[in-house]
Amino acid sequence: MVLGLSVSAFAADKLDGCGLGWQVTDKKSYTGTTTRGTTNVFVPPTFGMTTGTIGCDKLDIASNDKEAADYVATNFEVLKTELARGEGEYVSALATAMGCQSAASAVGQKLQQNYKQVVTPAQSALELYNNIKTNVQGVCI
Amino acid sequence: MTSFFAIQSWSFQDISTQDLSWTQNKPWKALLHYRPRAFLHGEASTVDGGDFFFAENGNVDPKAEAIAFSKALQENKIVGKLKQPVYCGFPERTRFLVEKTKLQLPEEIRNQDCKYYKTYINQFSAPQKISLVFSSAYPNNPASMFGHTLLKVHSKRQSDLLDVGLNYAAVVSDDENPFAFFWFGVSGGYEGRWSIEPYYVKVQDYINFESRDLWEYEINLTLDEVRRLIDHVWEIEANSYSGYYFFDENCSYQILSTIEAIKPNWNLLNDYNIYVIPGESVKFLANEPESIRSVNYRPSLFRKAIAHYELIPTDERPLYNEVLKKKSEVDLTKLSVPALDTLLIEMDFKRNQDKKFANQWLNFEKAIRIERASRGVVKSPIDLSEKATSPHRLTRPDIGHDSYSVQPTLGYKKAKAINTNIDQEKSYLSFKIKSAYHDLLNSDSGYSQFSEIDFPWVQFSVDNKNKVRLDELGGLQTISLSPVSHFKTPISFKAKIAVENFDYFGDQFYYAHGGVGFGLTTNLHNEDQRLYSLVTLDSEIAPEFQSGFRALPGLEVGYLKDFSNIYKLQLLTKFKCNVFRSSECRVESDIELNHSIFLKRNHEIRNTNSFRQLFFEQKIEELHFGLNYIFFFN
Repeated sequence: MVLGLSVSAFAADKLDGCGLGWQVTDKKSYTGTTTRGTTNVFVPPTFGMTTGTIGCDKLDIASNDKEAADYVATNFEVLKTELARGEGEYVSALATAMGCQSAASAVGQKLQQNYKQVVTPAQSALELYNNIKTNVQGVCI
Repeated sequence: MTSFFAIQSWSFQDISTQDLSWTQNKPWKALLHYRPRAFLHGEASTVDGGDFFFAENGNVDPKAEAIAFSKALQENKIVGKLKQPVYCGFPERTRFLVEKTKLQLPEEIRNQDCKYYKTYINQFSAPQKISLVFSSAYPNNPASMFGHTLLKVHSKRQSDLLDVGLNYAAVVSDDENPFAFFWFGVSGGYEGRWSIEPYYVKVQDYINFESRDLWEYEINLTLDEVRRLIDHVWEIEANSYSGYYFFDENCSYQILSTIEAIKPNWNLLNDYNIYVIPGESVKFLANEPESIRSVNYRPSLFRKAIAHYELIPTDERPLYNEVLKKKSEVDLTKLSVPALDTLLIEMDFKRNQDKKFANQWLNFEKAIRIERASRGVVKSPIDLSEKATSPHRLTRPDIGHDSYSVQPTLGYKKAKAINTNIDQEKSYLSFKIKSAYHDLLNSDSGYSQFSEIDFPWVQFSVDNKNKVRLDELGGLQTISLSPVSHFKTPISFKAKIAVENFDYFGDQFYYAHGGVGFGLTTNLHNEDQRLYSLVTLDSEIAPEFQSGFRALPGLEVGYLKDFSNIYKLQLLTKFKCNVFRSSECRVESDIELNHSIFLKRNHEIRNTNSFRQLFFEQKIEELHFGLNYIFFFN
């Protein structure tokens, strides 16, 4: 149970409609804290009707790419940081979402080595996803 | 909708001719979410809306509900928010009914395409296990110590972040004002709804945005039970809702009641709960024998940030701070890998706190990432696991003391009226009874360190002349002493609302007391201690005071230390200005030495010692000693 007003600090990020959009709000919580997770403002309007994607429907992504694309979109910043480190939980989850969980450390190392080609030029989550996908071919079956 | 078929091999079955005594037993009633009614006889369902019931009185009559449900199921009636057949909308209830009544459903019903249900199930990616997840307190926010619980459904892939979070919460608009929020929240004015999100979204919310730890308790359920729980959440959410009551029918209540619907032989909820505190609800589950397989800990971003910062060699710290000031003007190749890793976390931290992050830090962050990528994979030596952390620093809810407490105290007071030189002595026995939750001198195991929130409580005493008296009626007391750190400078604060007793030299009366304080705290480079100072303002209201009230601005300085969760010490001095005729300040002071010994979970001994000076018609000095035993329970 929490007391207080809902607020959330969402981070500013435009992800061209793919993945959850976040905005920083000015509001602060009072005595307690709640977020979308506790007093949940975000209630999917048709529980069970979503296909597990959050906004990537409009874009030209094959259905078996959707989970990975959504994942990259929502975790855009933390993933870029972990790719710079070449390993971590988010890199492993990325490999899993792309269907090559057992090659997670190889995926991490390769993307770190090619960081300047894969991550640095990517302006959007979709671009990053496509760069990653191209780059891990051969490592990720 | 399918038409009502006419097949020779099937005919409508009226179950009312069977023995329906099973409808009076817990397994069926638990699926309908029945609970004893607070002020009336009998039981009623906590599910409030829509198409959850088929009998007119289905929320109070389990047998009528079974009969009506069976009829609607066989008629393939269309129900619920998604306008689907009963068979698709109530998979768990159907399974249960068929098992109990041996109902034969025709192929047309069993083979129909439940497309919405299928879409829902496909989101879980071969569900294997379910965990109860608890989020700990937010730093500098004692009210958040009550916490929150949600469910996590593990898939076969064994990838935490890609698992699915099932969350029950109130639907509240973003700009609701705090009074409406409190009013509707307490009275059930909001709808409680279940929702699904990938677990990485929950992690973002709790770990990153809010800097809360997550504790995951893997529930001992079979594969079949996991599937049935998911089905049961579907049948609630696709057809109905429950009123969300902050205190007693909140996230934790609904989660426990949903687990009980699948495991009716578990007793997770008392018949009556004044409130269900999320942290305590974890204990209700864990106390059920063999209910938990394992516990997994996920530390908050803030904890990670502090751990990384401490890993930077001391002689590199000046360079680190210079880099933060001058950014890319500094040669990043000079920084060690720990320093780069810490910078990256610090950027993550700033991103979640600071609106202007993009303008000030984005390019710098890019440069750091590129530099870090050039250094290769370097495993961090930091171990933030549960094993590596001392118990009193863990926010794991099931190891902490319970919520209610009874505190008998043996006390002695000696007061002296300075002007008249009269002494007053008394010894007494008092009892404090408190419903929640945690104070500064309690064992911090399972709680945020040095954080207090108490409400409500009552204290009464018996003196050596056998006179019984109400000492204090407490509304709320909270203190937060979050230390300043490299990453942030939180404002420490305290607040109290209570009715207290004044008893000196023949003057005996009650007064209302409201007090607040704000200031700063440092931990002097030791997580287990705090040194703080607060600017305070207390107001006391009673007709016995001159002008009916006293306003006392003041200053409080305190020191606290925790010795390995065995012993805690507090030194405290307070100075208040008793503003006399709005020009003169008569200084009231209070010096205290308090300490506790922790015997075991739920059992503590405390000794309090104070020397006070105050003014009421004259100057009064008082020495006070107390010896308390504190016993917690749920």
